Amino acid sequence: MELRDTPEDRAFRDEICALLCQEEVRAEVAAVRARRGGEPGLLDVYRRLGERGYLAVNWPKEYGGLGGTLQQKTIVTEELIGHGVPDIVHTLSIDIVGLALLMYGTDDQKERLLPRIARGEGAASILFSEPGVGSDLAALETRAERDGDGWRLRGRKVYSMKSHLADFALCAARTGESDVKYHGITLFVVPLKTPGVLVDPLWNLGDERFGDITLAGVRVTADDIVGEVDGGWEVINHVLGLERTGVEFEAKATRWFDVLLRHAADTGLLEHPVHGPRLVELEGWVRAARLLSWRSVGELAEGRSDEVHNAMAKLLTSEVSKEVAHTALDLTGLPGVLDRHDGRAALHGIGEAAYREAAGLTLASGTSEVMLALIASTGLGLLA
Amino acid sequence: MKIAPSTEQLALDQALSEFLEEEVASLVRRMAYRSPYSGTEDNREVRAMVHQALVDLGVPRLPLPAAAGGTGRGQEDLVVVAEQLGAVLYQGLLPDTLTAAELLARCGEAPLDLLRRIGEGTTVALAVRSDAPGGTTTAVPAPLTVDRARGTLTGTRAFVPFAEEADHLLVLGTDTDGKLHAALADPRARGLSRRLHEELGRGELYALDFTDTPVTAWLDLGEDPAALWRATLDGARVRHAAQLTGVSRGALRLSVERARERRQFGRPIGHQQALALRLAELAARVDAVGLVVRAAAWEADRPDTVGAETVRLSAAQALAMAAQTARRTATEAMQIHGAYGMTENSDAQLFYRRAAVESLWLGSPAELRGEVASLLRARIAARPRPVVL
Ligand SMILES: Cc1cc2nc3c(=O)[nH]c(=O)nc-3n(C[C@H](O)[C@H](O)[C@H](O)COP(=O)(O)OP(=O)(O)OC[C@H]3O[C@@H](n4cnc5c(N)ncnc54)[C@H](O)[C@@H]3O)c2cc1C
Repeated sequence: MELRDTPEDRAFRDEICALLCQEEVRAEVAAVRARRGGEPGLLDVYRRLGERGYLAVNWPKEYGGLGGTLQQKTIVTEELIGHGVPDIVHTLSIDIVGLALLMYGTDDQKERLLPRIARGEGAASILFSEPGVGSDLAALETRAERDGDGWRLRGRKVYSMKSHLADFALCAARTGESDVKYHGITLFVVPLKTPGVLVDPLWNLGDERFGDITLAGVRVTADDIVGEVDGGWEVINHVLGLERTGVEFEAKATRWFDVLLRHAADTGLLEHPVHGPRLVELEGWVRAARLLSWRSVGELAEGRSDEVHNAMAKLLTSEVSKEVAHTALDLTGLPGVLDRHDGRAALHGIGEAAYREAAGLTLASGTSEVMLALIASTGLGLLA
Repeated sequence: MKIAPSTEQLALDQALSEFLEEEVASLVRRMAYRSPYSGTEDNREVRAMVHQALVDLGVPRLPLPAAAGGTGRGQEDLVVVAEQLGAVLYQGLLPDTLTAAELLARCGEAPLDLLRRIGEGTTVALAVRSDAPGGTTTAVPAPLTVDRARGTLTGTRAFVPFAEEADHLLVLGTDTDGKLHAALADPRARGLSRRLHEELGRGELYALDFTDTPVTAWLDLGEDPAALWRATLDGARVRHAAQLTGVSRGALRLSVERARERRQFGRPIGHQQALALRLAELAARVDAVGLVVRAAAWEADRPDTVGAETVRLSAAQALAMAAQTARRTATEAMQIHGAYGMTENSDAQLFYRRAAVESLWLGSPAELRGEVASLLRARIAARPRPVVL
């Protein structure tokens, strides 16, 4: 594990940074921020990165990447977030759905689905959660009913992000009944722009809506199965576990902290008897969280991903992000609650948006409690 | 100070909780929340109805002098009301109106007529904050240019609540001569423009611009205007601390209900110790903060006995603690609720939004603590025994 970028990684980071600092990219990011109501989808900046093979840089060339390293992919995520570029489409499509397909997809699925997302021309979403099913995902109720040589999916999925603009989703459904709830779950690739799928908005605290999705008998076939029939649980667990390096969370913590630090340095608050030491303390934890993430990235790259290390990374990166958001409010006071559309907003509204987004970080991709339970049981041998 | 509430306080508490039963409470929680998704309904009527109900319960008359038809009650009683209102996320003109009433009652030649009308439902919004660093603690009212000869004032004010529907504005400001001035102005006066803030709480918060705006009356703040304002502000801080304690109680109640109802892994999530014990700790902290607030209220009612500095320290302390606890409890409510808590339908996100705004309303906890740190020394002298080493 590297504690700093290697010279090659540094050169790569500089290149991504230069690309994201281009005037057109800055203008696009500014336009997204200024827009009311609408939310960022497939941004032009994704295509810029995609056409150079950077968006999914660690994927093989044939699927739109450059056969690069996981560290390089991490750098892309860090730089996107560090430059204030909305990242959810990227995380969902490349880091989660893309990873699942790379690892468990058939050659045909990879050829069919990956290049478009790698080029930044298409997006994918995730249909796991249901109204009654969150932390206990294995209890899911969406059914895949046999229909000739295929299945029809029926059920309701909630809290899914970007499904209103994605081309397809990774969907978990029950193909078989079993006394053990982990058995009988199958993962499907489901087209979203089809009459069998209804995508309604579920407005929320954040800037980006949840989707409320009704699966009204959309048809899927064996070609759409990721992994084995009835063997979806293993895929879900493996992919979710791998994805928990916490990179997008540490990148957010760092971004928010940097904005706050710049404000504190500019306004003299760094010398404030209460705020100064608080920022010093926080800086330490932001760095610590980032190092936990990079440890997990390094281990993943070497094929020895550690579930407990990943849980620690996910836990602390998201919790520290939340602390940064709260500290931003304390530091800026009431002007800090003004949003980015209000001309008088402190931190250009970045602190206000961070506070809203922070609430979800300790829930998404495995809640803090689930991470704690994992560390306690697998890591410390407790709770048995 | 008695830890147990008095009979009057219990009666007041009872009357309010009867009024704020679940149906009314759910209206109150959203009566000043502008959701971009649920149409453009104006909740002004609901707010007027709630204010009238509070008038009917005698709330605005509580602090008024007998000469203005009031009952001359102190902070100890008012915090009972504030806490009940905080629990249902009340937002409206009552807090500013009470603060204005207390200020007016302290003025030379107290305007008894206006005070009497406040008791009957007239409302006042305070225009005292600026958005400059430190300006929101309101400890020192923001700069204002005063032209007594022409009877006008000029300056900007941030974060004025419900500026569009208040009957009066009470403008406080520090002129270039360093003196504190206070005036009443008509919210519809010429030379006054307002802009709705776009903010986390999605509430009714305005920025006001006064340009040679005529005042309706100058207020006589007496020999020591700064001390008069400070004493008034201390009372406002105590009441706001109580309101924030209410916010904590409301958020806690909501979380406990969710923990009982939401099932995962075949049982209610409240059966998980990880969640249950955290809620239990919060319950203890919220009770504790509630008592700190009541102690501060008791002191605020007896400045001549305990001293103005003790009142100020205790008020700031209570407010900082209540603010932090409210933010923490609301953040916990979000975590307990899961993704559902983030959706528009859930009240958890309302508590989370309001806790942020309210926790900064009269200064952030850090600002408040910084403001009174030097007063802490006096606590040693106030101990019943020498500090032996
Ligand atoms: C920003 C965001 C984006 C999301 N995007 C998607 C998406 O794209 N697709 C999708 O399918 N889903 C998505 N989700 C949903 C996410 O997967 C769920 O939030 C998560 O699985 C937790 O479920 P829940 O929110 O229903 O909470 P619940 O499972 O109801 O949990 C509520 C609380 O109880 C705690 N808890 C539950 N069980 C235990 C236990 N055994 N021990 C201790 N504590 C426990 C939880 O940690 C949590 O604090 C998203 C969520 C968020 C916040």
